[in-house]
Order: sequence, then structure tokens, then C-alpha cells
Amino acid sequence: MEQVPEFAKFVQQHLRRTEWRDFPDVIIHAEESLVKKHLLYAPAKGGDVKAAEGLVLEAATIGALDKISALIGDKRPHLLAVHALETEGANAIPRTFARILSKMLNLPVAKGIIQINRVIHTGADGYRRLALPALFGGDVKESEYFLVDDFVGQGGTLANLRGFVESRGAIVLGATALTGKGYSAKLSLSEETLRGLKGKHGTELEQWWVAAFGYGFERLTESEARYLTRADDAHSISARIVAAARK
Amino acid sequence: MLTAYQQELLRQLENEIDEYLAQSSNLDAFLSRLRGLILSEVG
Repeated sequence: MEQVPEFAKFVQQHLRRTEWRDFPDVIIHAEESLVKKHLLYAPAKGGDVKAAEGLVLEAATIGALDKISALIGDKRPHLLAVHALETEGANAIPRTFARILSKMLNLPVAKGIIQINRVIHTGADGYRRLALPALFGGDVKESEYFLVDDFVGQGGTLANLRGFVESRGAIVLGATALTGKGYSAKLSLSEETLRGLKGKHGTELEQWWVAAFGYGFERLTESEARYLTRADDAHSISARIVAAARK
Repeated sequence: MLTAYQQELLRQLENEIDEYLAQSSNLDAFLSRLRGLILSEVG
């Protein structure tokens, strides 16, 4: 097993994951091709608010809005966007999406919580996504949140934002993404997938994982755990993560 | 880790988005069209 990387200390200062309990699937609005091939996608990703508005108004669906309404019921969680600096610049889509959802669903929008590191996840492989987790900072002032992002892939960013606010006493009722693959919607890890991961790679990898990231396998997302289970052996996982972090 | 300057830029964008959408008529027009569609379906 690779030596626990140097970045672990910094990551563990900020990274929190909480138990999945019965966390609902992420509500996804539109097909990935519709959003990512849209002419407004690139400028919106780079901070163009007007482009983000146009994109969200085209991609948000009534079916998904209905699902959010049904999920939150009478509660009034604050919508919390993944507000981050990315490769292309400051991504305007999640915050714009949250503001538009706010108007459509009559919900308040949280302010002041941002991603405090810059991770290059767009087009990155799974190891890089795992090696460089999105970390969050800011004041957690509200008691209930509903998370909003432009895309759900492995689900790590949403899991980390949820962990950030829940470790400070709040509750996250659910999450929505403008787009993502259908199989990414399920964040909460199933018993079957957890058993499969532990059965294939044993406890040695999990000990390394806890030493590197500060949480156990049971707090991985379903997609993260499936990704790790597909690896040939435990050593290759630790080696690839360390290599991805050094890039 | 973002620098203090980069974090400030992000917070500025947060404000810009809020201000832009507060004055934008596009969303209101969209919601009006949506209501019209729903009403026509109900009717």
C-alpha cells in the first residue's frame, strides 16, 4: 500500500462525510448531451450569468421541480449551490440554478458557503476526482438545506458539501443537479456495494482510506464505491490516487 | 486552497448573480409562459 500522501493532513482538516441514513436520490433535470453541448454551457461555466440563466431556463424540467416539491413537502430548506472556481473560471450555473429554483419553488437561498479549493474535475478520471475532493468553507447559519449543482458524476462534491453542513449541525434534505448520468443519482451507498468493495479489497485498503481521507468506506457514494470495486487490487487504488494527487 | 483574493472573487460572483437575477425579466417571462401552458392544458 502506498504511504499516506502529504495532502491528507490538509484534506482532513476540511473534509467531512456524514452517515447516509436514508438520503434520497439526486433529482436530475436534463440529459447530459442537452446541457453540455448547449452553446451557453461553456460561457456559463466561465462565469457568464446571462448564459447560465438561459441554460437553466432551457434545461430545468417541470417533472424534476415536482419531484423536489414532493420531497421537501411542507419544509422550507435553504437552497445551497456548489459555488466554485473551476478550470474555466467561476462557475455561474449552480448559483443561478439555485436562484431560479428559489423563484419557482418559493424557497430561500443560502449565502456565504463556497468551495475553498480549486479542483479540476471536468473530464478527469475517477481517481483524480477521489484524490482531489471538493472542500467547503463558510458559515452554516441555517438548519435545513437542499443542495444544488450543475452536474452529478461520482457524487463526491455533493457528499462533501452535505458533510460540511451536517457536521456543523444542519440537515440536508436532498439534492438536485441540472444534469448527470442516471446511475449517478443514487448517492447513498447500498449494503450490497459496500460488501462487494470490502470483500474484494479487504480491510487494509479501508485503513489506508481512513488515514488518507478521514472517513470509512460506508460514507463513500454508490458510484465511488463501484468505481473502486472495479480496480484490480487494493495497491493499485492507493498508487493511482497518490499519482493523481501529485499531477 | 483558494487565495483570499480568489475567495473574494467567488463571493462577488455570488452577489452579481443575485443582483442580475433580481432585475432580469427573462425568468418572469418564462414563468408567465409556463403558467399559460399549464392553464391551457388544464383548460
